[in-house]
Amino acid sequence: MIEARDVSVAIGGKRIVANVDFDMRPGEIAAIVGPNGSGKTTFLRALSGDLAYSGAVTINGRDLSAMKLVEAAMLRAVLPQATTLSFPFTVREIVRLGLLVGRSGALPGEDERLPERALARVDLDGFAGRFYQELSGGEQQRVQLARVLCQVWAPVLDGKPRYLFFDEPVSSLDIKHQLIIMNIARDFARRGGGVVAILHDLNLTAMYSDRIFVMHRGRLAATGSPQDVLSDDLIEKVFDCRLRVGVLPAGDMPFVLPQSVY
Amino acid sequence: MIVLALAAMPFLARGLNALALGEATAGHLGIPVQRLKYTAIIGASAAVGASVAVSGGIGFVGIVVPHLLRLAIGPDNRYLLPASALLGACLLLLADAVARTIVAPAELPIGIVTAIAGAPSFLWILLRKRGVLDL
Repeated sequence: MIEARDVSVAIGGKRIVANVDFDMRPGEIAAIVGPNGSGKTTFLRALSGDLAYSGAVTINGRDLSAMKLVEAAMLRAVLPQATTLSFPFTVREIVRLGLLVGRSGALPGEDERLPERALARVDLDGFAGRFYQELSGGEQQRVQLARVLCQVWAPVLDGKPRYLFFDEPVSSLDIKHQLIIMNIARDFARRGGGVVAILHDLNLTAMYSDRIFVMHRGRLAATGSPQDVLSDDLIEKVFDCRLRVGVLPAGDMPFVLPQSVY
Repeated sequence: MIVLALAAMPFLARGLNALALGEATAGHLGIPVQRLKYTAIIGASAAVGASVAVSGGIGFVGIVVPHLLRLAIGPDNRYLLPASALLGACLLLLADAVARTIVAPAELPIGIVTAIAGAPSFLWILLRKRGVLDL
């Protein structure tokens, strides 16, 4: 369970996030959507413990501000938007860094093989010996995801759920790998963990998320299930462009069809 | 002082590797970034200070050896740190032997020998990195 009450974040005297309430339960994928500069990343950084905030955040009932780095590292893993390196590390060396905390939750003795298994899950079989800097942007993003998966391999550890924080996990990926990554998120949630993901693709959001948090100018504009939140009026207002929200004939999943800017 | 710094190396190496991903990500992995940075900087300064107190300033060793080794054995600090210490020491012994013998019975300042060997190596590494040179 993650609970955030009245969270505000100011950077350099400017309020980037204002009075945001956020709740999610294990078993869920919570999506954060909103236009560029609406405070999504800043909010996620506060949730990750990177930024000072006002208000209260608890993860599994523990106050985030009182948590040690190692305790937080055992509880959640964070995938940043993009990571560039200045030294020629191999893919294996990068993925292995996910095991630094030493609480992957895999069976005893299996940690040694986790990097290879994590790489296979993100469809990077056989990439372990390659140099990170020589990969494409989408491949680098998937290497980072493999590292993050190693850190919290078991979605539940000692009976407590663990969490994945994703900042635009699929923005540099082709459509097949977007689905692979979102399926990994869904699988992690189904097995008892929780996923918080900043997403830009509203259709992927509708397909995969259980709860959507719409941010607009640093505030929470709406929250609820995809069916509740994805409406013409709200999405047009928040994203400032014309679009149409429909419902797929099979099932009640909404989809968003962009039309034009005003 | 030098022995203390050497003893600390294995404990710092993994954290320094994580730091290559950026400070925020290293923090997410449970690395106490500020403490690591202070320990590494103070440890390195103390060890260098102690060495300089014994031998005087000798240029181009610290700046060339780790970069050369990174090309040879990769950037993993678990191997890079001890390898740099060993190769640095070997190079200095060689430079010292040259300095004592080349104009015997007089003695050349050892800094001149390391500079003659080190400056071109450093230039080579720099040009290679910029893609100007492909050797």
